[in-house]
Amino acid sequence: MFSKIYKIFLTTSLALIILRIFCFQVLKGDYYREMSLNNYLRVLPLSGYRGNILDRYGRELAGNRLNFSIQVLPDRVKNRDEIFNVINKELGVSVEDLKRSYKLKFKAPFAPLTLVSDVDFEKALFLKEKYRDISGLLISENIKRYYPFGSVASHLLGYLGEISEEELRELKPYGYRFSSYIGKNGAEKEFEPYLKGSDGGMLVKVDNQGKIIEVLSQQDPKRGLDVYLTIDLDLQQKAEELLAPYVGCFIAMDVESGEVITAVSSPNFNPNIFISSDNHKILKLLRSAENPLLNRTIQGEYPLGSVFKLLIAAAALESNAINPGDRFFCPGYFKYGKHDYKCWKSSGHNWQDLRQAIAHSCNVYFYNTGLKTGIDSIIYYADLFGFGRKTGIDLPYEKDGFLPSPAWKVKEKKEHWYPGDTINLSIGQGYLLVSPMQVVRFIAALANDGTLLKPKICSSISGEATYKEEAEILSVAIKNIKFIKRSMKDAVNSSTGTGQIAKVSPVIAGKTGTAQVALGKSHAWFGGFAPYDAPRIAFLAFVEHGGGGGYVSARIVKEFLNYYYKKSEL
Amino acid sequence: MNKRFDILICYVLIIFLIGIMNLYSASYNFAGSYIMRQSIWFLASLFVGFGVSFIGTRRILNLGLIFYVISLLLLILVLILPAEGSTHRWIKFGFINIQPSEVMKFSLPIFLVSVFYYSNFESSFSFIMPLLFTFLAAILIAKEPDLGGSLMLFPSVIAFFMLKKVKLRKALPWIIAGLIMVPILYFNLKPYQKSRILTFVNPDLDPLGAGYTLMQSKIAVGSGGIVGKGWLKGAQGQLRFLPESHTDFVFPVFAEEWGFLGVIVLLGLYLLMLRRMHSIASRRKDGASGMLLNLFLVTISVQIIVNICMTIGVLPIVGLPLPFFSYGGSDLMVTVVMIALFFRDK
Repeated sequence: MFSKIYKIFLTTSLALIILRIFCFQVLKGDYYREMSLNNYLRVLPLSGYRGNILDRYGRELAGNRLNFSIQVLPDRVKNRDEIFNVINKELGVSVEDLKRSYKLKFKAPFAPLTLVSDVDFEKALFLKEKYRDISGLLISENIKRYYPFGSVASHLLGYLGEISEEELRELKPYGYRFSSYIGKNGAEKEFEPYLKGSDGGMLVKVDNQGKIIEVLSQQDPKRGLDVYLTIDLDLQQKAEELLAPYVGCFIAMDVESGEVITAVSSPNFNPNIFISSDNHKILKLLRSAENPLLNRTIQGEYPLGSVFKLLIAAAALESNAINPGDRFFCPGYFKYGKHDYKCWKSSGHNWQDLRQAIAHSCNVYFYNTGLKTGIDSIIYYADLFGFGRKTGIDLPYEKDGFLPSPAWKVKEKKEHWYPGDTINLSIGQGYLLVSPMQVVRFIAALANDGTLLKPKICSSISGEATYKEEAEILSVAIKNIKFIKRSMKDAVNSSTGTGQIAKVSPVIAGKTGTAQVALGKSHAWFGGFAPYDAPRIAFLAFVEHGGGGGYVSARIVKEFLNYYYKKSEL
Repeated sequence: MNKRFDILICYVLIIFLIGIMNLYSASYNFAGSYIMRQSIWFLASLFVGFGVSFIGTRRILNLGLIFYVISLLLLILVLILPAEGSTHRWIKFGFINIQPSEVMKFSLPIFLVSVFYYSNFESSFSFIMPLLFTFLAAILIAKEPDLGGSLMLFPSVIAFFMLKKVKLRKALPWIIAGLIMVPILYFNLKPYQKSRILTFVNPDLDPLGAGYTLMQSKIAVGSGGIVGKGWLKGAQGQLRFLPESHTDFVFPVFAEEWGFLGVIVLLGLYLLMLRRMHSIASRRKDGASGMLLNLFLVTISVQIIVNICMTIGVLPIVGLPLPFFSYGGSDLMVTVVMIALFFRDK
C-alpha cells in the first residue's frame, strides 16, 4: 500500500510541477520575458542642451549654465515631512512654502518634482553626501538656461516656462517630457524647434538596487541650434539705458534689409526669473501695472499723432490731390461745420506749403490736405505702407494695430464716417492705432525710396541664413518720397523745425508726433532715418505720456544716434 | 561485504555536478568561494557516507534513541546560543557550521523505526508517543525559527504510520486534531512567515515585500522559456532580482538559464534517482531497515517537491533547500548520508 501511494504521490507531484512550469515557460514565456526585461532594463534620458541665442556679432544673450536643484520623486518618498524638515534646516526654505510648491508642482508619482533650484555647488555636494539615505530625495544637476545680460533685450529673447499640459499633449512626439522647459515668448518661443536640442538616452542594465551594471546602448543628446539675432548688443544696451526712466519703446531698423538692430520695450524684465523656482517674483512680474512682459514694439497699440502726417502727405501726392507747392493758410484753427479744429500752434503758421507744413507739423495744412485727398485714398495708402496689419516680424504675439474705415464705422459704431473723422485721421488721431514696429517700417519704406520691408530679428540659425526676401516694392513715385524726405530733414535741421532737439551730425531726417490720449499726458513720438544722405537705419522712439512736441523721444533719438555714429566710426 | 556498485551513485553524481554548475552561476556575483566549500562538503559527505554505509542500517537502528537525544540537545543548544541576526539556526564548530534541524531530519526516522517498529497501533491513543517526539522536535525547530525544517519532520512520521499499516479509522482523531492545530499554529508564526503565507494566497498583496520573492521567482522561471537564457546569462539571478538565489531559490536560477528542456532533464534525473531508491528500499529483506530507507526516501522526495513547488507558487514559501542544488553543508551531508545507507544490504 505504501509503495502504491508513494508512486502516485511522486508521479502526480512531478506531473503537476511540469504542467505548471510548462505553463510558465512555454505558454506564458513571452509574458515573463517581458517582465524580466522591464525588471532590468531602464531608459535614462539625457537632455540635450538648448541652443544659444546670440547678437549679430555672436555675443551670447542666452546660454546654458550648470545648476543644482533639490528634487523629490513622489513614489519613492517614504517620509515627506522628513524631507521638508531637512530642506528647511539646510536651506532655510519654510516648510509651508515647500508644502505649497510640492502641491503645486506635483504632476505624477514618477515625475521628479523640483522643490528648490539654484542651490550652490558646495551646498549641493554637501547635501548629496549627507542625505544620500533619504528615500525619494534627489540632488540633481542639470543644465539651466541663463541670460547673462539679465533684462537686456528681454522682450526679444522672451523666456522659458515649464511645458503646459496642452503643449505636452501636442508636442510629446517631439521629445518633450513632463517638466520640460519650453519657450513661452520672444525668440525662445519663435525659434523653439531650432533651439531645442534632441534628448538622447541610455539603455542600461540595472541590478535589484537600480545600480547600473552595463550600458547597452546610448544615443547622445544633440545640442540645439544657435540662433543669431540681428540686434547689436552695444546699441541695444545703450537704448535700454536711455529708455529706462520711461514707459515706452525704441526701435532701430536697417532700411535695406529690415533687420532690427535695436528694439527696446520699457519696462523690461529679467527672464532668469522664470527659470528659478521663485514664484513670488514671477507673480510680481505678471501683476505689475506697467505690464513689463508686454513687448510694446509689436504688442502695443497706440494713437500715432503727427508722424501720420507723413503718410497723409504721401497719399495726397500720390493721388494728386495736392501739389507740393499748394499752400494753405493756418490761422491757428480750422473751421469745419460747427467745429473748430485746432492747430498745435494757436497763433497759427500763416501760409504754408507742404514742405513747411511737414517741418512745422502744421495741423491746419493737413486738415485741408486730408479732406482733399479723401478717406478712401488715405486708407489705401495707409494699408499700402503697412498700417493696420502685422509686419510679419519673426516674433510671436504681434498685434495688428487698427486702421479705421467708413465701412468699419457703419458696421461697428452704427454711424456714418463724417468729414470730422477724416480731419482727425489726417493728424493721426481718432480711431487709428499703430504698433511702433509698423511705424518704423513705414519710415524705413520712405528712407529706402519705397520698399516695404518685413522686419526680422533672426539673421541666421547656426550660421545658415533663414530669411527669405519678402520686401514689397511699392508702386509709388520716387519724387514724392524724396520730397517727403527733404521735408523731414527740414523738420530736424531748419531753424523753425519741430524736431530740432534731435539735430545731430551727419544730418538726419525725422518727424515728431504728439498723440493726444483720453487720460494723462500725450504720447511722445519721434521717428526718422539716418544719415539723411545715404540712409542706413530707420528709428523710432516712443514714450507713453511723454508730453507734447515729442521732445522726450527726440532727445532719446539724439543720444542714441550720437552713440550709433561714434560706434560706426570706430 | 555485500556492497556492490549501484547506478544510484551515478544519478547522485550527475545531479550534484549539475547542481554545482548551477550554484556557480547562482553565486557568480557573490564574494566568497561557494563552489569550493560546497565541493569540500560533498567530498566530506561522500567520505562520511562511505563510513556510514559500512556501519550499515542495522547497527544504526540500534542507536536510534541516542541519535534522537543528541539531536534534541543540539536543538536546545542552538536556541540557547546567541542569535545570528535574528535566528538561531547554526551552531559553530570551529570553521564549520552545523544545522541541528538537519541532524534531526536524519535522526527522527531512525528513532521512530528503532523504538516503535514493533509497536502495534491498535488504539488511537497509542499514536501519541511517536507524535509527541516528533512535535517536540518540530516545535524546537519552529522556535529557531525555521518553518521549513520543522515541517520536514512530518513526512517521515506520516510515512511511518503508513508503513505500519495503521487503520485510517484509528488515525482519524489525530488527523482532525492536526487540522484544528493549523490555525493555532498559524497565529504563533512570525510576522514574515505569516506574510509569506498570505502572499502565497494573494501575491499582489505586497509586491515589494513578501510577494516580491515569489514574483521574481516566477519571472525567473517563466522568462527561461523553452531553451533558457544560457548558463550565467539569467538576468533574474545574475542581477540579483531573485533573493536567496543560491539557497532556497536555486531552482529558478536553473529554470531561467536552462529553460523547460533543462527542467525536464533535471526532474527526470530526480525521478530516476528516487525510483531507484524506492526499488532498493522495497527490496530490502530486513523490515526495519527497509522501513528506515523508505522514511529517508519520503523525506528527500518531499523536500525536492516542496522546494520546487514553492518557487513556482504552488505552495507557500517555507525555507527549504533543494537537495544537491542549494548551498549548505548540513543538508548536503544529511542527504548524502541518507542515500549512502541504500548501498548496503544490512
